[in-house]
Amino acid sequence: MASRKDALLTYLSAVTQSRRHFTDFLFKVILAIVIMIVVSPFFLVLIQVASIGFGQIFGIGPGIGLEFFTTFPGVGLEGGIRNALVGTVELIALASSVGIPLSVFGAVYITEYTQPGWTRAIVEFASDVLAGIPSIVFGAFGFAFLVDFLHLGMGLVAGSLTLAFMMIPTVLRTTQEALRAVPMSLREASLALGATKWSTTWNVTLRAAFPGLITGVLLAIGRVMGETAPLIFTAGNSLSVPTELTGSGSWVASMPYTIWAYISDPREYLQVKAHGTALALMIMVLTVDVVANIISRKVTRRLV
Amino acid sequence: MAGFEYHIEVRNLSTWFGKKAILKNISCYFEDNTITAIMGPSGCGKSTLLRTLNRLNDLVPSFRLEGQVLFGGENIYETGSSVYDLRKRIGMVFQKPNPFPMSIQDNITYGPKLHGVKDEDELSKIVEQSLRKAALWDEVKDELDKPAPNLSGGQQQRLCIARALSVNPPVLLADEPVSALDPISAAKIEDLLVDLKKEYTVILVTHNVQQAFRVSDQAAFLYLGELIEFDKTSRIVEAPKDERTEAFITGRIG
Amino acid sequence: MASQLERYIGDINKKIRELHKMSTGAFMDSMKAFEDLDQAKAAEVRDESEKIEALSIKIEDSVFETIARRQPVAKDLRELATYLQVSHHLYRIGRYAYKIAHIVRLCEGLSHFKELISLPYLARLAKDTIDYAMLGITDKDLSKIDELEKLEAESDRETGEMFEEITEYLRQRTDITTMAMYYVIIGRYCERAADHAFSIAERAVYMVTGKRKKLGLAFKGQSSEAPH
Repeated sequence: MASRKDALLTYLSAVTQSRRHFTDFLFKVILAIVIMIVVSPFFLVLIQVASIGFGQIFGIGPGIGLEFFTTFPGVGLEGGIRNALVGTVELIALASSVGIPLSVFGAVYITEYTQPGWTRAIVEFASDVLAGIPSIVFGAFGFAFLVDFLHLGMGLVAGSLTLAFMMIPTVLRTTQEALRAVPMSLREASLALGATKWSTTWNVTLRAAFPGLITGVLLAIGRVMGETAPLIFTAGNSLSVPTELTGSGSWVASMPYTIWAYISDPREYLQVKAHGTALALMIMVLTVDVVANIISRKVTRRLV
Repeated sequence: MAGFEYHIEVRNLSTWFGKKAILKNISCYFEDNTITAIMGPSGCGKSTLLRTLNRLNDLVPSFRLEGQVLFGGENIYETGSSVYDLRKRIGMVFQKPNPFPMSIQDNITYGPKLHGVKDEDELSKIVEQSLRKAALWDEVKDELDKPAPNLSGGQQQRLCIARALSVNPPVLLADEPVSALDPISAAKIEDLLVDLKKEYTVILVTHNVQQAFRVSDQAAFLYLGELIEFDKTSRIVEAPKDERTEAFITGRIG
Repeated sequence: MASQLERYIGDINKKIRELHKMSTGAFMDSMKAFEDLDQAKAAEVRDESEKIEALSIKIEDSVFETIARRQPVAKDLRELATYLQVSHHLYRIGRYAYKIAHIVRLCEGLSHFKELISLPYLARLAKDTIDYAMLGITDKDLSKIDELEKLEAESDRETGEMFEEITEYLRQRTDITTMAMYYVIIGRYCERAADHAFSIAERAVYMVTGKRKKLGLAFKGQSSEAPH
């Protein structure tokens, strides 16, 4: 123990030895504090949500534990959130199936098939602007254009298309970066073997860019999973799963919407359910992000 | 192949990228089954010349050319001639090894599959033959489905050579193929290239004069876009005709 | 700033100059020793000849090292190869000096039967031939190469006259046979030294121009009738 105290004293004396040393030490301390402040919201949110919602997911009882996910809310909303879970999955699936191909092929077009110039600049500019637009604006646009102007009505299609519009700028840009990161020599090697441009793009470039592409897609999905504002005016809500693609039977619930709806409700048990839903959603998004992270780390290893 | 000449002839070739002239009125002739080294200081146009031979410069929109490049007697820049066909018959290896991010096997079958080979047995045969020719078979024969980027630098480059050979091109172009490798791998690949000339015609770009002398039968000296000298290597080593060539190979310029 | 290769070559060039001086010096000294039948001088020449051999070996080693380490090509390669060969020629010339000095020793107790004119003259002609050829080697100056044929013509003429003179003497006297033989032999050495000089000159032309050219009247079929 004496040696520990001695070590500390030695350290302190070394550190206060000169002004330089002290400034250096001071900065280390300040930065450490800053980091703790920066990282704390994550833990604070997690603790807040888990402390209340933990029991919903892992407890036992009616509409609790496994039943939380397998039963519908039912009368008085005392059941589970199966409607929201299924709804979120369906919305994401549909949004992805529209948004991803459009973004990927769009990115392929501007990266591989155009020269730096007007087309490319306009597309990139539009994407960057769209990426920064608040989600409520997308919601308003979705309502005005899809629900009203195109008479699609609220529901699955309007909701997922709005989400798709939100995904496109991000996925397009990340795909473009992934494609750009593929070294020119790989394309040249393919062409030097007598391949056509499309063959090269499909078999070599996209393949090489795939990990980066997937990372971008997963990150976009992770983000869009938790959006409420776009869905408020476009997806409607439902206590069960949608039965049609359009019309009133297509109204669909989603987890973020459910959280918002339950939190706004005065009933105590719904508050708790809201936290449970929030915890489940956090876990889902976290999983998606972790997977994206793992894949992106594998990229640097495999692409030389 | 018998009876069909694959020699390459360049006649009065001049090239530009936009307004910038790169090659100036070059004429030369590459014999079958020889190794020709194109050497010169950086920026003299050697890579441009090489890439003109398999029309890889077409990828650059500002590229312009005058003169002729004849392969087997036909002008490869004739409008209407198939560039995909040409590139099947003229293969290329690049400075930095660039294996596709696929398995070793898939790297080699990529080319043949492009050109219509579907039979599994034939593809396996091609894989083995190409890897043997590139002196890589013994090292990787039990790991053909492992990813190619996991190989060492020297192995990757040999894989790229095997890949280029997979479609059996009579001519192989090599753009500074060993300058990114360690000396031992480089030496192995130099020996490999010398072996390959029995069946192929090799045209090699290098900035390393000693390497050019080690492996080539003929050497071309390019300086500021002009072809200064083109002669048998044995002659140039002993007594080059042009004093600029002599200044370059003795290390006084470039 | 000179490159490494230039330094190596410059160093060997200096050694070649020294070898040139030593060989021709020994050669002329041995001729003087023979003229004066000076045994002491002859012994000096014999010692000198060992130094000549040592220097030529050093030059050879330097050339090998330079080729192995610096990988010279074209004119650098020709220059080094030439130094290697010239070193050998100069060594041979040094050997002739040794042999003449050896003959001086054999002349212990003998004396000349006439005043020596031709032999010293032939030695000087041989030395001039060597010097002109070496100018091409050490200074890359080929301006004197054309003079060589004049010297050869002169040397041929002088040898022919000497040969006639000695045969005349031998017809008249029988007591001078040994000495007369020695004169002929030494005349031969002078001539061989001049031959080496011609080889050196040919190497000089190759080194500077890269072309191989044969020099000498002998190759033009224009030499005299004298035996050589």
